[in-house]
Amino acid sequence: MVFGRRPRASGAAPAGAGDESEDRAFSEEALSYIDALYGTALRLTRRPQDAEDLVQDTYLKAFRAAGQFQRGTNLKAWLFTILHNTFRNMRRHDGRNPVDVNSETVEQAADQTGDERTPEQLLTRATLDTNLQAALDSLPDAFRQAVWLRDVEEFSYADIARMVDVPIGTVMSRISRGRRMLFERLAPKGSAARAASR
Amino acid sequence: MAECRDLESLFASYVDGDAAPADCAALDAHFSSCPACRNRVAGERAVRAAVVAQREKLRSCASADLRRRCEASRQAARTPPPVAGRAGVFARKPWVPLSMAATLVLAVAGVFLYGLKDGVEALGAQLAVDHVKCFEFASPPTLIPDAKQLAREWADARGWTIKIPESQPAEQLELLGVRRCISTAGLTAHLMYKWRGQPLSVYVLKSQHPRVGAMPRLVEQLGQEELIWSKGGRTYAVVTRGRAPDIEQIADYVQRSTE
Repeated sequence: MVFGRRPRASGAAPAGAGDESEDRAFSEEALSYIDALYGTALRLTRRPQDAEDLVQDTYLKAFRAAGQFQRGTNLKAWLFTILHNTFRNMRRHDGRNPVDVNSETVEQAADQTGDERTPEQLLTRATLDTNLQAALDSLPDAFRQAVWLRDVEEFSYADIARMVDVPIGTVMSRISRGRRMLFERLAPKGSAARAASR
Repeated sequence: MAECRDLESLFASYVDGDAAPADCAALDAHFSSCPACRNRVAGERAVRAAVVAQREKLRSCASADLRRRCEASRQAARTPPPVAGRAGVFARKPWVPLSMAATLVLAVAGVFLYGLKDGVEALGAQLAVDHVKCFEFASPPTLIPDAKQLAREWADARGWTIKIPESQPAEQLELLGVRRCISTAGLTAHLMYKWRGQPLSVYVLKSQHPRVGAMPRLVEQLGQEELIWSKGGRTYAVVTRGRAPDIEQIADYVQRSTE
């Protein structure tokens, strides 16, 4: 559901003090995304305590800024944008680089042949024994975010671009490269590179 | 190959089934002569299928405590703020008890106003609002926390050490827990206590605040009374509800415990 709120006129009541039923519907829909927000926060922070703090901070900001939410737009995407902005600010204050990307690593593929199985066959067998979540968690931040937001949370490229504050082309590239890196982690060592390079 | 790199930006939409027909045709033509790209896309498609198939397993559930805290955020945000903007509201006692939302609004303005004049007062305002906010949202612990264990967990998780004063039953000082203080850029440990039935916070800043000296300074912000000092490259603050006659005693205990 895409929830709509009336744009608030300047000088009107503060966020949360509008029509009671509308506010309740807004809050209930916003809180219905708590699992998705928490799961994403966990992928970002990698620590449950930090993820909980991030989600709580996200809701605080969202409820206080509820009046700024644009009618007819995607509330889930709006909340995720707040979550990512809050995370970037936290990382900045922590003195850590918010995005650690080394795109070149995905370009490294052995130029050999020998394994005749297809990528699908390799992955199907591999995923029976391999922890997909661990493989996802091992991806560099930018690629993990892109794959997660697209394939798990099903956001559009444009929504993801707004959330992570990069151009759409970069998002599409990160999704593609993130999937490739994931394939290399999940498929048996050596065979993935050979399959990918054939 | 240059052509491979040129077409790479279309791989995601091709795999997702979102590519335009003309792009699909161009890619299909390329794949017929480039097994490397053909197999790469097949691998990406297989990964996407695996992630989608396990989507529900990969998701996590928020805890009941987090749900409660976020619900509380909603209530706090709904409370309308009082008339603000008069400097006297920040400066004079007696402090009229304010709602959570009002406290947050005033704190932002307080930090701004004092930030121009006095860094210690601005720090005090930041810590006061965090103190109020955290006790508003925090759940009481289900087990009595062990100070040493908490300190070890903090060091493991954060990469820097803190000493946590233990509970003092004789002083009715009870350790509740430790959390990272997001309001102060995440570089502060917030030690939460109950003292004579009232919330009491001890903040430990990872590095020494440039305006805070070794002599404890009394600060009154947002209805909270605070003692703030620096020692050993760290800055400490004890925060509790206003006009606590024995706050120096608690600060002294904190100083001794953190040496």
